[in-house]
Amino acid sequence: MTPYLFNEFLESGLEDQSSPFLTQESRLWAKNVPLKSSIASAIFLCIAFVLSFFFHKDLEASFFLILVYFFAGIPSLIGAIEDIGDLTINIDVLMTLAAFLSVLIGSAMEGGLLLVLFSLSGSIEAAVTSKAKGALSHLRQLAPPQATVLLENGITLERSVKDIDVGTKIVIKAGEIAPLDGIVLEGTSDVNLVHLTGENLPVTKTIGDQVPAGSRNGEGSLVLNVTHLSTESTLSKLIDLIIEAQESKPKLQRFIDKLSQGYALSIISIAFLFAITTPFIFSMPFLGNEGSIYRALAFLIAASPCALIIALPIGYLSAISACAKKGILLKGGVILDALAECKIIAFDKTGTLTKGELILTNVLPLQPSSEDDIKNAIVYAYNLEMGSSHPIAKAITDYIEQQSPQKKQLNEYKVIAGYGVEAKCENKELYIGKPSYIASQLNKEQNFELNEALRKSQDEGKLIAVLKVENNFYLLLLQDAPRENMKELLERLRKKFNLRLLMLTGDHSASANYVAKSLNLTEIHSNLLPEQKLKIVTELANSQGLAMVGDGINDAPALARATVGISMGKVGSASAVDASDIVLLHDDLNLLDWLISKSKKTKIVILENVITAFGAICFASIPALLGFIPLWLAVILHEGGTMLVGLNSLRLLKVKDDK
Amino acid sequence: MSKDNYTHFKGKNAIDHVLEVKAKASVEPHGFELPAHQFAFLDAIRNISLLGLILFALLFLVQPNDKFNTLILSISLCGATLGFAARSTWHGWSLLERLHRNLKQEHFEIQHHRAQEREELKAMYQLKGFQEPLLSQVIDVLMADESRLLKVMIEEELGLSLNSHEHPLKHGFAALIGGGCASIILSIVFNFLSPTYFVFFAFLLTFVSSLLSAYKEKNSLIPATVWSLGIAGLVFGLVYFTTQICLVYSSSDSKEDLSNKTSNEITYLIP
Repeated sequence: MTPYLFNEFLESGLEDQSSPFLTQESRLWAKNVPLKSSIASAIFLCIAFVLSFFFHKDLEASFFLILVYFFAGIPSLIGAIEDIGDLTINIDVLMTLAAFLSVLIGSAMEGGLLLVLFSLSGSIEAAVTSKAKGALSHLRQLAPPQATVLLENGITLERSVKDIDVGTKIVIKAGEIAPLDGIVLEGTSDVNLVHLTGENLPVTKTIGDQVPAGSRNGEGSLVLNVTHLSTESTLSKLIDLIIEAQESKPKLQRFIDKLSQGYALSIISIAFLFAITTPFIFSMPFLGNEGSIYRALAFLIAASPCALIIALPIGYLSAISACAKKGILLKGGVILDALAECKIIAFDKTGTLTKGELILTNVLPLQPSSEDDIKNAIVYAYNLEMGSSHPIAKAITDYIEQQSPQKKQLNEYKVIAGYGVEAKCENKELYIGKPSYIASQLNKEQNFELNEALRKSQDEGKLIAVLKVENNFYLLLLQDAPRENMKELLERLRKKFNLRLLMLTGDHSASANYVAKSLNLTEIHSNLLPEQKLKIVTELANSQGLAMVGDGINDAPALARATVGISMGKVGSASAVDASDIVLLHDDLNLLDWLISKSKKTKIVILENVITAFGAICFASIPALLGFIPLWLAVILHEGGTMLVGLNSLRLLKVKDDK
Repeated sequence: MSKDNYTHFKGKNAIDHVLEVKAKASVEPHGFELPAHQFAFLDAIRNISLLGLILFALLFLVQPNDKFNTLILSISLCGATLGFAARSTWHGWSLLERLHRNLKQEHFEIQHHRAQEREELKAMYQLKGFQEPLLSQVIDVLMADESRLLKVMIEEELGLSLNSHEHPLKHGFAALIGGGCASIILSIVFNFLSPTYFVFFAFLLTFVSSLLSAYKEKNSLIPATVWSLGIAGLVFGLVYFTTQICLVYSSSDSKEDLSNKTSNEITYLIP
């Protein structure tokens, strides 16, 4: 039985396409209805135009115009009435008013054209703007909705997390996510706190330790005593943080939208004043072809910015299309405007600046050893770690697999929760895992060497695991390396766009400093909790415009709040992808400079379009108002401007690197 | 699956059977078991046939030999088809809006008034005969999953059916096709055959669409068709004779001439 689409439906804003009441097949009818309706109107308009212009069949043309006004006009009219009800006079109101009033002066064709262009523009923009931006649908998957409650009689019972009180015992099995905050009562295990710290390295938790909600349990089983209700848990606070960050982010507005309200109000006012006052000033009649009302309506139609209305979505659509070809997903064209304005780029460390995966860099023996001894030790390490999903195990097996190691039979294999694994092989005792577990088995010299290595590794941002083969010990050095060409990219961003670059990370400062040094980054903020990251991002976004690049759940609040959030599509968590505005589908950060160039180019092209459109409007509408040119000529000049800006916008389809 | 189960569930398992039965019993805009688009199609045929009969009665009596009668009839029927299709679509969308609002409201209540929702659930299942301790266990299971809880409340508290409605555009499109076919058939008949055939075809379309509706709904065929024909006949007859009465009393001609005229008209209808 397929689950119902309640969450998807509610997050989409009650769209028919995901209505749980409709049958599966019926939902297909709801796809892109506004766009289909606009296209139908455009076809009817073309037919009406051909009949009127080429065959002089005005009555027949009117038949099709009625259809145009129905399919394109009714939605516009509803929108305009709602805007007027909210006391908002904007381009929508202007266009609708001009379109419907044009019927009064016998210019229904021009009015129909306005409606079709307006309708097409709105539906194209809606079709390309991702609705997932507002959805944050994967947030719900962060928090398990149910918990396994352990009753006094030892029976377990599934219960909604919302119905669980403080003091209840819950069981977290291996691999599960902790649904609530709690203190460990029984068991020991490694838990992954990546949602809080961004570091994908498990931390050992045992009796008395605090386990925050959202942690992924490792291979042990834990019984927790719940310490916070679901509404007050760490995870709930993180989710609230993400939602709050998104809601407090100023709504990105196309820069032209800021002008449109003033423009619409001015045009409507001028037309109204002209219609009412000029007969008294210039002894002009009110009615008739030379009357003030006719001229005012002609001015209203000529001044309707349909060039802008259609050219802007084409411009953004072209840019979005060019980005998509490069593997960059934009959740709306207006994001490019915002990116062009950003003065700062902030990067998360693990998984963004670095690959996010540990790699084994070196194997150091703590006693004199031959090369064969080391090779054999590596083979034992491989066999011990083969069955584990721990990040360190993956790094070791990835490294050793390249050498085609021999598979060996292990006996008495045992996972020591929170520490590592041990086994016997060929009568030798083997162990691999945390140094602290076998520290007591080392002699004084070996302990000294181990401590030195640990100190040095911390300075270099490295990790150490210990391998024991009988009485021989080997240190396995692991590191998360920066991505290729990252240094060159950061240099290009600095030089080409004069951007301020900084690192925001939940990792400790030693590791952060090491990576920053290798990438020539000077501004570093480390040991940050998600709310601390958010605070820094909020301040900088408000003051200078900040783009944030991240991949983890802990980056999600910052990504949501940044002026522009950029996430990694492959390695990135679903919540980070949901919260961001731009997704790099192939995790190729080297496209960042191309993307910023594109955003600046888009802004220039849009500005060119605005100037051309306004120029055409002035050139057409003022003479029409003064009666120097007839309405049909004004419309031709006006629509000529529309074509010019449309063609200009198509330049943004270019994918080649702009110099 | 046992033989009894196989026969009862028609080869499906119990869950699929329940889902199918629930979907069939859903409240469609017109309140029938027939899929909405099929109902819209057949109902449009009946409506256009009825309208055709009314128009025919008026046109035939008022301007019997006017050459524009075909045009007036055809245009009126096409216009009415468009109107019925648009109304059917809008009606579907109004219903969908109401359903969505109900779901949103119920979701809000689950999110913010869990204790009250628990009480409502408890009451519903007590009425079904559940008692403690099974009652609490059932409530716990239902409350554990919000999606499951929402589904239960929508279906059992509000009596609504999920995954069973059709999109309003589908209704409208079907009504357009049905009404369009009926309009074309009646226009052709009116233009090329005698008036009697028009009346016959209008009643025939009414009969066929009613028969199909009743057959698909598994209702009794004879009462369904006879009632539909009876309604059509009632309307046609009332309009026909009311128009005649109005013409008689509004005309300035002598009553004798008028009675001759009307009796000739009546004779013309019957071959």
